Amino acid sequence: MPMAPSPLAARAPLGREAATHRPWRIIPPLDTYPRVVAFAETAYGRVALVVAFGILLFPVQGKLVVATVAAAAASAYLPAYRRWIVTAATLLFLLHDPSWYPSLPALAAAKAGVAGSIDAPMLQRGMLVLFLLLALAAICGVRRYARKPPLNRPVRGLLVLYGASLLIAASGAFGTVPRIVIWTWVGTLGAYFWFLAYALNDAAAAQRAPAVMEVGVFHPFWGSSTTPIGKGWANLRKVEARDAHALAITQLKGLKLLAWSLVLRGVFAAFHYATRHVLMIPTVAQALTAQIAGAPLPAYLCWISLVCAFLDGVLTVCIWGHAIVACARLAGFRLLRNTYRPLESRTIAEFWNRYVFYFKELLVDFFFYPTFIRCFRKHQRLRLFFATFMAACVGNVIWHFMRDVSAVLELGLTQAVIGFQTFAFYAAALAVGISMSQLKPRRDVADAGWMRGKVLPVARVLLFFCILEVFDDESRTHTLPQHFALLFHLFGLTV
Amino acid sequence: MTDDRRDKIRAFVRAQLKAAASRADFTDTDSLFVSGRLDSVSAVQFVVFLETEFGVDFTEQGFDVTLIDSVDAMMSLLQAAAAPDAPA
Repeated sequence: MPMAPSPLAARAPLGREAATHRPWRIIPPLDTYPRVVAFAETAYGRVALVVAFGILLFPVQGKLVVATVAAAAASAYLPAYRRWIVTAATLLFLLHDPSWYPSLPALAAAKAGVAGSIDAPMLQRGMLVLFLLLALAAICGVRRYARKPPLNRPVRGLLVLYGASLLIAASGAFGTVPRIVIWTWVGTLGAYFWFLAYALNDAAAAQRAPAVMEVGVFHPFWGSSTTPIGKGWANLRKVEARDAHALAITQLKGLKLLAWSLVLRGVFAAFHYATRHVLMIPTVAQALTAQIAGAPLPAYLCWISLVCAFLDGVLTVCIWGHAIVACARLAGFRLLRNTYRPLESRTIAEFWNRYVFYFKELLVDFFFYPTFIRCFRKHQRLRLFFATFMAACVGNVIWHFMRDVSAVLELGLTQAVIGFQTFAFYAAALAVGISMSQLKPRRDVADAGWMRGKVLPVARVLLFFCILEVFDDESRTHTLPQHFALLFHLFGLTV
Repeated sequence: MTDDRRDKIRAFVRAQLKAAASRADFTDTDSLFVSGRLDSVSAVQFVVFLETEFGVDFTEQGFDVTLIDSVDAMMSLLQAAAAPDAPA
């Protein structure tokens, strides 16, 4: 089977002509230098590559770097055992640090005033083991009875299970200890929800990994958030490096990406120091607080804080995602980047695709496609709009509500839902923006010229996302009208 | 008939790659979506194309982007759709 070119490979200059006109880059394109690739295939080259990777990864991972690089190298250089190595490494990392997600038992115990008498880490560890066993049973069940309801729509069933668990936890119908245990279940199910969803979806695939291996990529050792970076095994199988040459190129791309992540860390530190400590630019939250207090900051300062918040977000996502994808590439998986030149996007949909690729893929896989193939099939524009809305708004809200479920514990279900109004508006506005950019017919950039084809579309996209920053508020304490007041203030309007 | 369908699919792939400013050529086995050459917006265009041009019904078999990841994959999809009793 021929190796599919990655977008990076497709865009990378190749051949003699490209070699003579190679543009200068901060990180040299090592994966396009035949001698470097050939060296990376030798034993000495592999050692050099792994050592270089470890040195670059140290500022990111600290003392865990040896374990991560060793696991990745074992996965890369022992392809026959790759899946078992990934599974074992992931489970070992989980054993070492099972609390990569927020500890709801500690919070629930503190809320009930019994923090001293509950061993929250042990409870979380025990629940994790129980969850993984149940997940295994669910994967086996879906594989066996894939055509019978509700197993034929496993993600819908999972959403119902999560919603029911949350309602029970928030109801206060149980005593202190059972309530803490239920909250522990809710936290664990929420953290692993999308990993399990991919595993259940993969259960229908013709070629599939043993069930225990599916669990082996639940928050894999190379890292993730609650969004699986690399999806499940069905995707990882497709992007495995098949031979030594492909592996060398994949790993060199990983090394480049890690180096770029470090460069961006430096840029981020300088940016943060300059904006926060030298120029004293307020955050959007500070601008909002001043607005609510009746002493709004000058509009130009609010605009600057929005731009800074936007750039801050882009840099943070780049740095975080690049390091994770780089580790996966060292392990032999040709994963696409989570973020790829988002500031060059000419449409809102393109930005969404380039900015947080795996989050967008999650929404597309579990919300967009299922809606698109079932609803409004005779009305193409409505069909596209509705599917986009289900993904970018409904799916987006569900994902964020699950991620921030501790707000339910702290504020109560009703207040948590009410506090979500601003983010819900953010997601709805995003969905409308993406839908409109998708419905607009694509135009050839070359025909439109540099200004109309590139500069203006990019500026429009960046302006849209900067303005949207007004509503990207995770505090849950400010109302939607208060955010609108800040928006109007940006344009010199007072309400 | 099969060649005719393959040619139609190839022409559509070519148009989509051009619209996505992807200039590199492709073969019938090349990955279009998993490789990142085309995105989910293009996948939608392919779904509509396969539904309207060849009568494929994704509601019956579910949708996964691997079903349309290459020209060969789409041809397999059409062959499977033509044989409704075949296992999905």
